[in-house]
Amino acid sequence: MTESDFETAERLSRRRARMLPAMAVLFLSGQAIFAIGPDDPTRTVDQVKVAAWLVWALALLLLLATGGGAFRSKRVRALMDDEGTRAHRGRAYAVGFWVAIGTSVGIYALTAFDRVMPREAIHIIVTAAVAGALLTFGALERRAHRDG
Amino acid sequence: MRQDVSVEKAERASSLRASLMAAGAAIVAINAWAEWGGSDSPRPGGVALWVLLVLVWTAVLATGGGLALGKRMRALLNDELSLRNRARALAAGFYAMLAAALALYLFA
Amino acid sequence: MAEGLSNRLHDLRTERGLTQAALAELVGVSRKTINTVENGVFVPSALLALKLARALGCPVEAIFSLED
Repeated sequence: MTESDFETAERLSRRRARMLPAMAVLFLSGQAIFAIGPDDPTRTVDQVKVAAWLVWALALLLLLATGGGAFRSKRVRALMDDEGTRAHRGRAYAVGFWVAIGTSVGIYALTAFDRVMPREAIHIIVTAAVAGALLTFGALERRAHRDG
Repeated sequence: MRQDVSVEKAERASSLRASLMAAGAAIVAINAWAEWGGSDSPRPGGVALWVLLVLVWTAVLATGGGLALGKRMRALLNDELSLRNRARALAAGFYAMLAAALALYLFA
Repeated sequence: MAEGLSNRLHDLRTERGLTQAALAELVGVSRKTINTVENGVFVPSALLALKLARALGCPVEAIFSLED
């Protein structure tokens, strides 16, 4: 039996709600690799690490911004990006913004006691903001799917 | 009518808030340029002032301002349209922050 | 419940023998959006409210009302 657009959107939306928080946690835990030894921008291995982090962050942002389903029909994408989803995305952006502000202030306060390199600070702020936004979006979507 | 007076006052306060926030954004940007734009290292006091300015303006963004005004005035100032505009501002701020951070990362 | 707005969407939908998915398909949104509207978590736009009213064959005021 073929699946209707509505059923496809429902299935993909549920999968997205499960996957996004997991991807956020993976993204956060993946940063542990940066804690191993000092970062040397001239070393190829460190350049690859940084490039991987950048690509990962941008891919997650793209997923958050578009809602996924890029290769699906226009109707499936519209169902996956309806006004309820857009409201959740708006709240996720707001959380990401406040997480970024909070993390920045925290790092600024930390500089009174310790030296923080610009790249380290940016890395922490961007990682926290992206993960915060993704976790919020995923949590809101999961809650919306429950009790149905 | 009392309600009309309130709506008119809220309208004026809302216009003032819009102008103040635009000026605030300009002040924060000019202050940042003054501290980091030159060849000299930023002064600690100047940086602290900039952080304070950012915190004040983000607090205004978060609350909508007008904390000294009455509950009804604040409700009119933070009506549905204002809340929607704030959500769009936060989304724009989120992306602007990420874009600036990533650009800085590449040049840092 | 969203502040100031109550709704009878769940009652009206079940009276008509519709599932959340069936109503969602009728108005062109996802099932979770219908779920969040019913639970009062999400306040729909005027456009969605009108589409819901049309799908259920009743005026918008029959679905949504202001809490006193």
